[in-house]
Amino acid sequence: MCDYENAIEIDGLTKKYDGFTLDNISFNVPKGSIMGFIGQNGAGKTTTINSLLNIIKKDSGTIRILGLDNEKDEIAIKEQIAAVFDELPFHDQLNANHISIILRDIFKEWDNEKYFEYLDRFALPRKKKIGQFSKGMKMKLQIAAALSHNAKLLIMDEATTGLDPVVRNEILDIFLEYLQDENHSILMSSHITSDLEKIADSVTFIDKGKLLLTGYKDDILENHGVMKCSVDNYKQIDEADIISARITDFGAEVMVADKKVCSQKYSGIIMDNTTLEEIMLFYVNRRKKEWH
Amino acid sequence: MKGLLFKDLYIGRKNYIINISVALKFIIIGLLIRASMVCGNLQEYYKSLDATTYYIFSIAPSLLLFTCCGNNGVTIADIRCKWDIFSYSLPVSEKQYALLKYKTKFVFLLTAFILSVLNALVFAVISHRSLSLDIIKYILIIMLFCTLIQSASLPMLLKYRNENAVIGRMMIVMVILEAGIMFAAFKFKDNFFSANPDDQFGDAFVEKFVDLALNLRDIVAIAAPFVIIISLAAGYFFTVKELKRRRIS
Repeated sequence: MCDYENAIEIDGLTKKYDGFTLDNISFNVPKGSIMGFIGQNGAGKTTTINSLLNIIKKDSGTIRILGLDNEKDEIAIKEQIAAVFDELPFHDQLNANHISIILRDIFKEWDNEKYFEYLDRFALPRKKKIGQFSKGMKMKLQIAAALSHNAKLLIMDEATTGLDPVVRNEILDIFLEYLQDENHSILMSSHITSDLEKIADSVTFIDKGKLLLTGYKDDILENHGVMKCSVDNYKQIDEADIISARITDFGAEVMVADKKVCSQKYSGIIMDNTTLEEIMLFYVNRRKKEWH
Repeated sequence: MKGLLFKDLYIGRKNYIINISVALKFIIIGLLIRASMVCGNLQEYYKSLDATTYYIFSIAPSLLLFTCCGNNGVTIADIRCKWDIFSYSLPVSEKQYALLKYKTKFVFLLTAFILSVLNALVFAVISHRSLSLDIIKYILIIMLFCTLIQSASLPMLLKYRNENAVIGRMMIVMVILEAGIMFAAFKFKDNFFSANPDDQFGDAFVEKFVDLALNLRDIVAIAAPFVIIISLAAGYFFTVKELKRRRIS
């Protein structure tokens, strides 16, 4: 096991399809942290995750996971990581006991005791067919399986999508518990930004295959702000300061990337704090500059 | 990889149970018919039915047993529930995955062969016959065709992800092969009758044709074990190739 600073290092990742290109994506997930990977549907989140997992071959770039090359050391990496997808990839006829039988021979560090502890904690029946589980139960089962082989990295692809707030909260608490061990890291892709605001240490925004932002969540939230003003006042704002602006019947909401400087520069205008969801919305519309 | 083997066997269990049950029923029906021919109400038909029933009930169950060995349903089920995508996140290489599939196929085929020969032996004993080598040859030929279909179907299923697409393509190949065989048969007939215009009732033709068919049968039966191994190996190779190709696309 080699020592590493970042659980995931992506440098210049490019993947081309007809009509879509994942273009030169670079970001790191520091060891012991949660990275929120945000973007709208079709932004390239799943393509990035599939490239990480070597489900698809990248056209160019390098990916290192837990300090190892994701192609050359693929099997060694996959012993130590767990992937959780938006849908349970197990057959409906199987039950939780069967999952244990299947996975314990695949993962060298499979811990049966831990798996059944999670089943009990999540109140998941052991002998009931998975096909009869609710969506929340299926996700909990997937997570129980993911956490039961001492994985150092969890990669989640829209794992909380479609779950009710109670189940989502429960799952987020489990992730926080998982991160108590500083050797554990999580990459979590989602378009439910409220979840990421609760638990992410850092975030990466992606849109139409391009990286928009990456960095610590608190820094991003601290740096960005939304100015609320009239349409006339909006016209006096320097275009270079504007990421994009939402024009309504009541005025304009303008997102800026440097809240401190803009607060001083436009002292007459109200500056509000922002959320990850707003940042995503304004950045996605940055090409339009003005939108409704 | 015992876990993956368990998954395949569990998911495919209905298919195995149905096929084995039907094969067992066939064997039991054969035994009942044979018993009836020896000391029941079919005694008067003993001479006329003896050879036919002997061949049918010695060979037919083997077809069902060899069909068990394929079970494309498991691969289809994997594709439907996206297990095939999830399996890329597991520490299992394409070669390990393919090796497991083809090793299982080989063990099943071998088991089906042994059971088929045992069935033929039992039938021979209760028919007061010695086990005919012809029966073994027919069993080998059935095994060969089943292996060819099963070896080709897995990489094709992985490529087209649809059973109907695979069946359609296989049927096209079979139709072409059958057309070729029919053409060769008619050509043989025309050539024979051109060379032997005196054979008005076709007795000599039938004798010649049966001779040729039996020689062909013998050649195929001798080649069968080698072709079976080669086709399993080719199936493994193309399965690995297809699993790797899917990552690029």
